[in-house]
Amino acid sequence: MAESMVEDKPLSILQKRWRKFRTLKRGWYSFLFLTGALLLSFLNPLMINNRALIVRYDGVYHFPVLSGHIEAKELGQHVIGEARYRELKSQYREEGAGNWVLMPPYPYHPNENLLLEEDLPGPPPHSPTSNHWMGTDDRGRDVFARLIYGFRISMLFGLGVLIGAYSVGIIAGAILGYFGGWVDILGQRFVEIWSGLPFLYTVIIISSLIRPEPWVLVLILCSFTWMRISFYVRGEFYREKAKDYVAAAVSQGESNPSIMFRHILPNGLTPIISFAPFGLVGYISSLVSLDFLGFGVQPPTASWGELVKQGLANINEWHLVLFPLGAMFCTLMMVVFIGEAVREAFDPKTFSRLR
Amino acid sequence: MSGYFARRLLLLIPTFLGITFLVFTITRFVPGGPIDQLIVQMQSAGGEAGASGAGESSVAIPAAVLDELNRQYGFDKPFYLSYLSWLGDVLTGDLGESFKYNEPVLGVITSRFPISIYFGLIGFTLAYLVCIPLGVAKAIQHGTPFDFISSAIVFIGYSVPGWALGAVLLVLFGGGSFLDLVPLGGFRSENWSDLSLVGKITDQLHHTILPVISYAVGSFATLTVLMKNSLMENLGADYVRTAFAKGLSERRVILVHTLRNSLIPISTGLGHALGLIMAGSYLIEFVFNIDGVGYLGYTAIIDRDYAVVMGILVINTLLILIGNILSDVLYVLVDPRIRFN
Amino acid sequence: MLARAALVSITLLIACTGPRETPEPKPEPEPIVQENVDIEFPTTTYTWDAAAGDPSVPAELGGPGFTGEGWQTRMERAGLGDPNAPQGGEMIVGMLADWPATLRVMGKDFNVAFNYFARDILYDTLLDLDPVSLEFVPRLATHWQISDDRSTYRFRINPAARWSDGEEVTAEDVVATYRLQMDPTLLDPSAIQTFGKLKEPKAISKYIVEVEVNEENWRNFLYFSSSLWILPEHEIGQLTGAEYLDQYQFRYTTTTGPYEVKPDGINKGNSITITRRSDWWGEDNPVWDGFYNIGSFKWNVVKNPDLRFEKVKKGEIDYFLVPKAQWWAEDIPALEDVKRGLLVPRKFFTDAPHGTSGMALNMRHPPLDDVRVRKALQHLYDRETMIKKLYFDEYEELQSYYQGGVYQNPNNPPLPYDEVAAVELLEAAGYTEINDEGYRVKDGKELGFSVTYRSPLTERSLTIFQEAAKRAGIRLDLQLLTPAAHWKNVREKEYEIASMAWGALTFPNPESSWSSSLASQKDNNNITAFANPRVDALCKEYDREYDLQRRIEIIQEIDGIIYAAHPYVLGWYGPSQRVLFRNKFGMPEWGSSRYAEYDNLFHIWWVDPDKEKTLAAAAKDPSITMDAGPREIRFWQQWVAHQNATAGDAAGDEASDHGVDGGEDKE
Repeated sequence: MAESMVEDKPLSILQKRWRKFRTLKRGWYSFLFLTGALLLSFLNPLMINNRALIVRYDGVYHFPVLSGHIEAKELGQHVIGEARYRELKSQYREEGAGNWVLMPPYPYHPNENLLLEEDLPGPPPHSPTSNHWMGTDDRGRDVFARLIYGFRISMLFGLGVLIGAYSVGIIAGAILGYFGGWVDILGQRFVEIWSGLPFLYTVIIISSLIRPEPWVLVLILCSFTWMRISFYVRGEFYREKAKDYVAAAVSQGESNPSIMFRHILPNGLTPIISFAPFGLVGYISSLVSLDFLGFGVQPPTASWGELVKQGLANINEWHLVLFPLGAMFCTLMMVVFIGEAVREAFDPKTFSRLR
Repeated sequence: MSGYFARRLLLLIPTFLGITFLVFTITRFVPGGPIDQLIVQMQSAGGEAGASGAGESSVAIPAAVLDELNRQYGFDKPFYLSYLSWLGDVLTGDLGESFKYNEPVLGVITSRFPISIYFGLIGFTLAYLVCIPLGVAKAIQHGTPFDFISSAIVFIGYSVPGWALGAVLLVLFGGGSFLDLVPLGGFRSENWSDLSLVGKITDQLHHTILPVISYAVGSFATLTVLMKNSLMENLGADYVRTAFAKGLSERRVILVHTLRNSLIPISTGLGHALGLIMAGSYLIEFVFNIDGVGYLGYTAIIDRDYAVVMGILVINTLLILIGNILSDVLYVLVDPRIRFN
Repeated sequence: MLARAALVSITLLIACTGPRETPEPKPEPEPIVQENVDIEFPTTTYTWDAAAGDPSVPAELGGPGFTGEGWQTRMERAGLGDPNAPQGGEMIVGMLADWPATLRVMGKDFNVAFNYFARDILYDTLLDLDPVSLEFVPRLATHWQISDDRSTYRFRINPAARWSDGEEVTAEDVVATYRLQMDPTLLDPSAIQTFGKLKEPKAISKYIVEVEVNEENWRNFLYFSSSLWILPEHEIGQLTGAEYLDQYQFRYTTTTGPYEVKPDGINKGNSITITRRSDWWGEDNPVWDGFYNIGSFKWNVVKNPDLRFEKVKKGEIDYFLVPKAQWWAEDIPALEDVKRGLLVPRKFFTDAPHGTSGMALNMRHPPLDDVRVRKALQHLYDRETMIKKLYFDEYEELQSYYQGGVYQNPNNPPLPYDEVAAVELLEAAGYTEINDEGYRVKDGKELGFSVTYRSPLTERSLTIFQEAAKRAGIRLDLQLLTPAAHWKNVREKEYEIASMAWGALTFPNPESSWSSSLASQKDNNNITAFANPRVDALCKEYDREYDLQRRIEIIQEIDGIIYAAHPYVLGWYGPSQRVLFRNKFGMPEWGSSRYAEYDNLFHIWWVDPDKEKTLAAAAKDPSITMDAGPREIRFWQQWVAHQNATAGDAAGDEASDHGVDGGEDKE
């Protein structure tokens, strides 16, 4: 019976907060937009790609986006390696044999250099054109395609680190703050030693040993950022646990985890929540800095850091500076709006100004 | 209470040992260490100079030289023994000699302190001077266009990395390409010591503007929002209601009652101001051609100058640990509800 | 000056070459011999006073009255300096990316470009190489002897030679320098390697020093006479290597060269100023007339290359080597100061050989042991498109491992981008199957390599290579490493494909890079594990061959064999030095000496006071413009072509054969 009571309560709180969150327009729309964009970005290969969606050749249908590599020869194109679908499309049209190609709406791949494209004369970076909305980068790759693919990497990276670091940080901070005493003393030593490790040094060492995949970078960054959160959570727990409601819960015989996470945590959430958007922004920026130093995601992966770096190396190319920085700014701004709204929704007290 | 902090101070010791031992051990077992670094240097005499035939280094480094190197860097002993002898030196205030510069590490690092402290302190003060009033104003005017626009500005600063902003500003205002308003990097002019006092100050400020903007721009956002949120939380509290009920003016309620409580989370950051001695960012110093601790640290890592890496670690660790304790002291001082025992 | 060519290019810390995005080039060579080019330059004579010296030293031991009989020498040398050149002025050099780890001229960490530059003009070697013919000519020593069995060399030092503190230069200085250089605690093993082939020299008298060799090799004479920079015995004679490392970390000894570094010239972390001496012992010697005119060189540390370029634009730097083709082709012509002639972009086409850059292929790592796979990789490297699209036609494709100059095999065929040929080669090598991802497979193993590199700038061409390789069914994984980790992998042959850039040598040394005895060992320059019996035999012959013409033939044959084996995926080179300088310098018609590099081509320039005045006036008056002079100096190319044409007329068929082959190959 006690269990069901415990389960009902947080649900209703969450519902209340959710409702309140939805009334905060700025944050709510930012949330809808970013979530939508993130979900949509999983469909990137269908929308921005140099592989065709459908090819009809000699009466047979092929679905290259789904099926993967198809040799050019199998589709009647006389080049080596994978079929080049944009060329194939015009080839079929000229042949007039009833074969056709359906390309994605934006038929360029982020890793594909367009140095020999006829509509892009001269050396890269090329300025925006009607085919290449944001121009090309320093080796003739489509900036729009890279920006969109990079969005997914950056967001997933940031969210991954956020979730990882916050989970570890909250649990660690809660334990230290709640139990105090020797647990706290020993735990703090561990946290301090851990924070003493130079971050950059570790990243450089690891990337000289293995090729860091994005998820490895997420792990590394997580392991270097959770301490800060644990620090704040610990402080909050110290403050909260002296309060009466904790004593009341203790006297009711509630278990420690239940007190920590059902009672204290919601009350101590404010600083954690305030920091979350900054955290996300910070993690995305960290990836940019790592990319800038050359220790971020491996080439040719599209990432925002790589784009920002190109912008700085070519400050005279406005499209290389403006679009990546602009996209980064808008995204981060929206994250902050969400953060503000969440904070307000989580705040048990309504903000009041009395005169 | 004082007992608590005495214990905290004692606890610095295991933490300090733990960190230095861990990093020291890593430096010993990671490939591409200082000896490899040196071999790059040595062999590049011939090595880099000549696929098409070069190099005088066609055979391995003579064993005698390798032994000498190992001895010099203390790599000839098991790592725990060299750690102990390193630790012994540190306790007597000797951080060893830089592998790269052949000079005492302490001197190499402290020579960068004035620059770090200078920029660190100005940036830090600036951030607090701007963010506290701004945060208060934003909290009071929550939801107004002012709140929105100031958020946008602060976040432009936050989302654009400081060094990137610095690089752009330097091109725009450095006088190389567009406007000639500020010098092209550097800490001060080369003829600085010949200038008059006023000249010295002007010159120094002239060199300071852009780097400080780059350093501080990122910290505005966090601090402002922290201040704003903290104040708003307090404005909703019961004691504020009471204060208003007593008929106090809003000004007085905010400045005297709420602000004090709202500053608690912010004050904890003050303890870490100690770290300013070692403040610095490799990228910003790189962009502005400043010889600060950030640049030193990064190049020491890249060059595997472990003596300097460890030296920076020692100083940094001490500053952070003591800063942590100071933060807690401040926490207790400003918030009597908190008890450490 | 030129003997140091062996050691050029350690420019890890010097940004202008650091990126190495850039060996440099020209697109369509203009007709090389222009009709009205004056290809004459004067000859000068080294003067020495036979009566000078310590009277207690007998004439036959080099003292007063020494006649030089029975000794070799060559008093004439090409007079490339302008005797009327004014002395003085300052050049601010923008090439220092980091404060050097040391300012010593030998020992640990010495190996950065600035130190080569400084050593060159602060100190002297026993002999110089003629700046045009590369023959030995006097410097500190006036005469030399090589014994009949070629096992002993003797040098007679000019009694007029003085240290900057007034002390005489003696044979003891040479002995002490050699001892210090060989001290293991100096931590400079490559010097030990080089000079260990000689025994310790002996001072026969105050002025005569003798050295024996351990094994016969013409290179030993070159190294001892022109690569050993003499230090003062009265300062370093009693020091061990370790003590020298400690005491001279950021300090110079007294010097013998035309320049010195005053104590206030070292502004630690920021700049180093090298000043012309007024009391140099060689001051009145006509061979150096018109050399070393510039009053002082100031090397400023500027970490960020972009900032360096901004400083050039603002006028804070006088001399700048342009590292990026794009800056040269797009940004620089658009600068207002360039249009007005205040800032001069000029390309110097010297005759210095070009280094090799590209990707080393580790033949110990199958299937890179298959020459068809290696050749396929070369065919997939689209140099033409990259040079044209990314590098503004500033570079040229390497077509030799001894590119430029006489050693290059003219019959090496070009290796164009050819994906069809690449696929055929791969199929011939057994890679006929293709997996789902489009990569080739043999015996269930996917065809893929990891490519390591150490400069983020290389990434641009590597990603394009990666794409082309994917089309042909090869997976390439790119991995950026720190320089130390990269070099460790390479020298231990623990890599698959590694991006590399090597400098060139004036005198090739093929054994160190291509000898089969090094193929299975670590720590040597044969990083690709190349092994070929014919090349081994040729290397043996080369070391004992004193005839230059035969040595050239040997290297050409070696070049042909290596080139066909594809140990590297070859990249490109820059055929000129792209310099951007303030228009305050004057220079002779040839601009630089024949083999000059970016850091010494200005040794025959001077600061023109009139131009300096105009420049100062132009800063205030925007209507003032200046004559920028030629945009390119190709004097040495034209001179060489002229020499070859003359030689060809005389020697007949052989030279013209080469010409024809070369021409066809280029089509």
